[in-house]
Amino acid sequence: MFPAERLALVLESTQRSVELADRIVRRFSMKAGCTEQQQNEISLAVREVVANAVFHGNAGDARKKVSLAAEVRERGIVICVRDEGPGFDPASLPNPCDPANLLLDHGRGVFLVNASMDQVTMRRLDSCGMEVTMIKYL
Amino acid sequence: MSLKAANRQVDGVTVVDLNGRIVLGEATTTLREVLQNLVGQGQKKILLNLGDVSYIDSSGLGALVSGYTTLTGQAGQLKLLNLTKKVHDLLQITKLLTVFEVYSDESTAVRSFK
Repeated sequence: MFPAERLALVLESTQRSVELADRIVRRFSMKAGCTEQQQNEISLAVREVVANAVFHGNAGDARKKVSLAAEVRERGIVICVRDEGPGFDPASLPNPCDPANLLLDHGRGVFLVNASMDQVTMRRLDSCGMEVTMIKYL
Repeated sequence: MSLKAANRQVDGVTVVDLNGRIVLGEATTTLREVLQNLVGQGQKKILLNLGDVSYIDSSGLGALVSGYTTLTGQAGQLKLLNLTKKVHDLLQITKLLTVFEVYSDESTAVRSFK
């Protein structure tokens, strides 16, 4: 379907894109030699980041896209997701493990991304949008 | 794969056997509706059997927490049964193991309801 070394997708701002990205990246990570646990961790992180991009970044705007790139490099699998929204400051997010936030039914997505991947960088793009780069060491 | 839910009564406790993935979309909607319907029917002792739940994302965790707060807000109880290692680890890192009562034996879990 695609080479195991590199993958690039442009996704619609719909819920279906979350499933699609999950399925394709899981297959990519399997081909790249990830263990089942690594595949599950990557899958969870991709689901959360793409869902954030679709629903929070692009706010479901059909004119806006989510781009996803995955690549096998020497140190591991690098996955980059970009949206076209206003971006956000990750440092401003409340800690979902704080006792005051434990009973909230939202706000765990970014926490799970950080917990699932070995390295995560989130930055606002100068042009427009948010870019999340995640690495899973192999 | 969609989430399947089947309810049964055991000594006054509603055991909900869940099968599938609790993830963003239809699955979390299903879980929320199942719990809301049970509460609406006056069922306030609910045990969620997660033995056949292979995967949960943040949206699924949100649905579990929402069910917990709804039940406790109405003097009810929501407890969890048969966590897989993957789900157990997820609840551990999010500190939700400090919120939910979790059991690995159904009889013990049923007896724990007041």
